[in-house]
Amino acid sequence: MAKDPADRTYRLGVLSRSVAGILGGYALASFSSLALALGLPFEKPDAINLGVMIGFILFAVAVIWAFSCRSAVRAWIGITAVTTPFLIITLLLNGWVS
Amino acid sequence: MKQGFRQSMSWLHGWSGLILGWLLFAIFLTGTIAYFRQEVTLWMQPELHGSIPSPQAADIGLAKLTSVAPQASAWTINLPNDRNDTVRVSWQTQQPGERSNNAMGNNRQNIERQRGNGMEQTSGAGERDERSNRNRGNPIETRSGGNNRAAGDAIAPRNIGNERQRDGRPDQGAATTSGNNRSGNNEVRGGGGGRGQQSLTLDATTGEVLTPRETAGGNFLYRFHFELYALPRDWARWIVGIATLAMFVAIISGIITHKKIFKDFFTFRPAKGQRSWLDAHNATAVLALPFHIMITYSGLLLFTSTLLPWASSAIYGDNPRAAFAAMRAAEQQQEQEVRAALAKQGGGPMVPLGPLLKYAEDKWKQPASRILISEPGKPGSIIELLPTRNDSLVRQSGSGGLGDVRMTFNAATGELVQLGGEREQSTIAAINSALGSLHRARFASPGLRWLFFLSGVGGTIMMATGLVLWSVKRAEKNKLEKLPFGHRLVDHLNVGAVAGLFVAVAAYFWANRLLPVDLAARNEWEINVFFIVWAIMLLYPLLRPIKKAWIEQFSIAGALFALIPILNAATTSSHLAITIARGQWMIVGFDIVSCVTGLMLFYTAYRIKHYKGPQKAERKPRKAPAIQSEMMAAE
Amino acid sequence: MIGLSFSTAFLGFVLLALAMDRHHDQIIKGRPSSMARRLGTIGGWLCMLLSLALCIAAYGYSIGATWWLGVLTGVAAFLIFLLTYRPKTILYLAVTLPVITAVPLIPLF
Repeated sequence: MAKDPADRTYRLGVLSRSVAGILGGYALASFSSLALALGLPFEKPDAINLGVMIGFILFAVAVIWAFSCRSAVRAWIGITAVTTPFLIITLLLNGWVS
Repeated sequence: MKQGFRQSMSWLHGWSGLILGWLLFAIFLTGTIAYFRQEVTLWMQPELHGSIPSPQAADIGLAKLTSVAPQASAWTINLPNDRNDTVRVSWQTQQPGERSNNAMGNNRQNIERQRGNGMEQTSGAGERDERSNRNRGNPIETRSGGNNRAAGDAIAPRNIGNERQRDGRPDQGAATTSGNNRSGNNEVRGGGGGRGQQSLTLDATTGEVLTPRETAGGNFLYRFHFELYALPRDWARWIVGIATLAMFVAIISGIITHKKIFKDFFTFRPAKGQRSWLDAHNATAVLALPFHIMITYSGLLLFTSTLLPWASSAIYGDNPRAAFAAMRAAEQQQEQEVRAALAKQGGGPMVPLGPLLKYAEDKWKQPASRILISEPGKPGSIIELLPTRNDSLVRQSGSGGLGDVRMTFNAATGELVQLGGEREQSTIAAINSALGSLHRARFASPGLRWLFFLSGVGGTIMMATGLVLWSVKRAEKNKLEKLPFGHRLVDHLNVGAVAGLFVAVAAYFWANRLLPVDLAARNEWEINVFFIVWAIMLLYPLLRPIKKAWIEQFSIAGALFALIPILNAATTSSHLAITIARGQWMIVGFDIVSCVTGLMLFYTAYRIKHYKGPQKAERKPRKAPAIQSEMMAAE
Repeated sequence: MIGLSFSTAFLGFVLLALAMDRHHDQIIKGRPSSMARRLGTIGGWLCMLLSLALCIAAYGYSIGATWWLGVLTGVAAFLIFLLTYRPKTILYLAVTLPVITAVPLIPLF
């Protein structure tokens, strides 16, 4: 049963989605918490807290997205599309890119 | 995944729940017990059971401090309350050459460190003192005059905290907490290296000094639920953190999968195979759903400094505490001025504590639990009272339930003194504090604590039934073939991780009573017994068929738990007849809950033994679509 | 007051259960009429709100709300137990418990 090519495709799909959901989701959580903490116009401790609170929720959303969308490629595209703006904001605000 | 949204969520729910399910079960079980960790620790120190709270407890503490430490720079008295029957006193000795001013600040700073730590994302002071489970080599902890830290949730032995700082272990997390985190103090004065803090536990009626046995107490189970054991701290926190993330995903995907559960979550159909497991899983999940969401999400937030430290380190760098120290400097300045002004008024004998305690109780509608006296007998001495528990979630929970609220008096005149203003708290900080408070439940009065415990039991059953369900579902599919290796592994681990953990916890309590009282490193042996028994239970199914292993392990656990009241009666003089008569409900509660747990485990074993499998008539042909939707339709 | 909160929450859950086919059949045989369904749902939710109000009155907003969620969990667990093993006692308890728990509050008025 494991030799069935369809089965192998399925397994690769699961692997790809897992990586997208877990690592991609973690990247999304990290950069969203960073971008919000740096960018929100609150007192710093509040901005950090809110950034982290939202970051954890986005992680879960990312995992759910990765396993619910129609293909593994879409999972990657979706998560990348959401993470990139946070990444850019972080880079801009943190002064790593001038 | 090619199927619909709900099918893919069902898949995700099953796998995210399974992979870390055994660990999550252990976290739920030990964490649930940890709601009563002070009570468990008390039970595990029968030497303290003779102490009965009395109205003169405060005076007993004061008299002891006056006689043993008249020159101390600060005194602390922890009064009996609904989670503690003894009086605990501690004092700080002033170091030669240390400026009096410093020493005066000591007590307060330490308290604030504790309080701040209570809200700290990574480790509260309450947690810190339980590091003692492992820090047995620490010289400070050797019982100098009955130094009792294991029982001392309420007392955070500052030495241990300091010890940790000297280890160079970063005290993370301050930055991720709210602006009202008072722990922003980098310098730790007093204490450290065996000087400074000392403490005694006293009988609350006679004032006699009590020397409890060494035990790892409820604190071991508490620490295990988020830091496991004997692993490097960061690894352990990552492992538990990842499990928490998996739990979070499993909860959300579970709600999506089983969204019909809200329709009839009252339903439980016993002895019907997979359907019963599913019912039990759904019922315990939905019943305590707010609890599950809260405990998981707040657990994640408490792990922020491990899991998502980036935001904090981008803003505060590697030393968040320095930033907070600056924020706090102005406030300390103000406090010092008030203290200096008081000192100028001159000293005098201390006013009696009774009227102050009564005043506080009338004002707070709950008794004070802790008394702090700085510079006793000297000019500028002040008395501070702290209540037993917070009356609002958004207050910082601090250590042992003692929160932000306090009342300060001039020790010579008994007048109220205002030390600094109330701090404003933003909405976000309030939400954050509330989630932290809810997770720890230190604010909870006994009734509410029971409801938290009940919800925790629900979560524990949810994890266990979920694990079994994974296996049962697949067993029905490939009934005739030999089970694949993966499936057998899951079955095997289910036995050892679920039933086996019950045996291990029971054995831990038995070890507490049966190990010789003067055994060296006794607390460590209790822990060793726990892990040795658990390891045996994990290997056990290699030798026995799975069903027999389930029955036998549940029976062993049932017997051990059910006999705990008898064990207690045989090894101590505080058995049920005595403790009920005296109204020592903490000890009574432990005995009875253990016994009931034991009987329920027995019943579980009995039901497994007599279960014949689902009746033929009830089984319907299953098709590929999600089983649960068919079950709903079947009604 | 917290006792009354428990018993009104219980009454509320029983009313909600009566509005559902399956549980209605367990408690008092047969299916609920559409009128009974509507009344049960509305009454059930009103009882829940009353239970919440009692918790808040007793413990303040934040801790009162926490109590309430705990009360709901405890009461629902109790109801599941009764539905499974003692469905006949449910109606009787739903009526008597609120009365019994209200008695200690009489002096307050």
